Amino acid sequence: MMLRTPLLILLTLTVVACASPRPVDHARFNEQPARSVLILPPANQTTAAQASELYYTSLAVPLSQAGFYVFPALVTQRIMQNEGIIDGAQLEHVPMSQFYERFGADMVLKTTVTQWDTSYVVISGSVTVGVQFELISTRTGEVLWQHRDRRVANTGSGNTNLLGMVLETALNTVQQDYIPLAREINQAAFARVPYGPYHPRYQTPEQYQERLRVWQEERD
Amino acid sequence: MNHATTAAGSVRSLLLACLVLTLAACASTAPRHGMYWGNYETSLYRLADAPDDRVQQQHLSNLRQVVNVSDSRGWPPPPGAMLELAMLELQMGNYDAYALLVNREYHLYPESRMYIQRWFTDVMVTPVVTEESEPADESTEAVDQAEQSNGESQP
Repeated sequence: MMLRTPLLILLTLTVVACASPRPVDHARFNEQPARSVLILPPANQTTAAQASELYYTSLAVPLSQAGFYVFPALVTQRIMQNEGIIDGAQLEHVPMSQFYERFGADMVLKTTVTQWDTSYVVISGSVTVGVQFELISTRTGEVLWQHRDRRVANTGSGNTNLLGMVLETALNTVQQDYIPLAREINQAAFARVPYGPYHPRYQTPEQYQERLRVWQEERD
Repeated sequence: MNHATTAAGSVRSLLLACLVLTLAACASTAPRHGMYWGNYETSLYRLADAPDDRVQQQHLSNLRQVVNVSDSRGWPPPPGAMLELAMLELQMGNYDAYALLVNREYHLYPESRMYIQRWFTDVMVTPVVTEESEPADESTEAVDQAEQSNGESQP
């Protein structure tokens, strides 16, 4: 009888673990080639001059880990800079087909940094990062996926001495990297994109249709 | 008596089956393997934040490590890494390393081909015969031929 409870827990866990999560919406990714991504310089809507360049450096790795072919970040950035493009807003009116013709990219990742702020009030401070994402097909100009997120990190001090606290908060807030927050945002964002072709769990359009069918049957 | 032990036995085997299934389910969601980026992001960030020669050198050596560690583990170097390293090797005057890396990326990732043809023209216009492309398996040979018929010149 002692065995019953753990058995029940295990059974529940097993059933939960086996239940397949709702498939991420692939439909648009299956209609056109969607293997490679060109990351455009982020558009900067904040007053932090460096926000675009700094944020840009946090995108290539998680996107490649999601399974996509990502064009090399530094090379792409330098090509853009040679053309005088520093901020993504400058590319607003460039037709999407240009990014296929010049780079061979199936998709373009457009991002906008909406917040990149530090607020600092004597013994507590905080850092806020806000980003909007769009993956756009270079063949059709269609937006395949979009997402937005905003996160706040507190930079208060653990020091109990008041003067130390004041100094430390100022230091933490100044040194506080926006990047850990940006990474959290990116991670959560790309988890909502279907796996790319280099991910071990990538599904071809056919496999996806099959999985969707099974999922719908289970649900009905 | 005998009955009780059989019952306990079947409970035990059920428990075991559950455990195995649970573990298997957990394993399937474990972090994937096969991609190594090392300290790439750190030096890429520093280059954007305050570029100087020392930081660029750091980025170069981080990228070399990305490629070396990937190779030693039998993993493909991650997308774009070899091209980015190639650009930095060229700036150092290491033309052989540059050409080799561009060729590796070209053959490993078909998605890179238009990009390379457009932005790494000096390598692709006169295709460099590298150690890697020499033992050419049939698939890369077919690709090369397809390209030549597309107007690429043979050296």
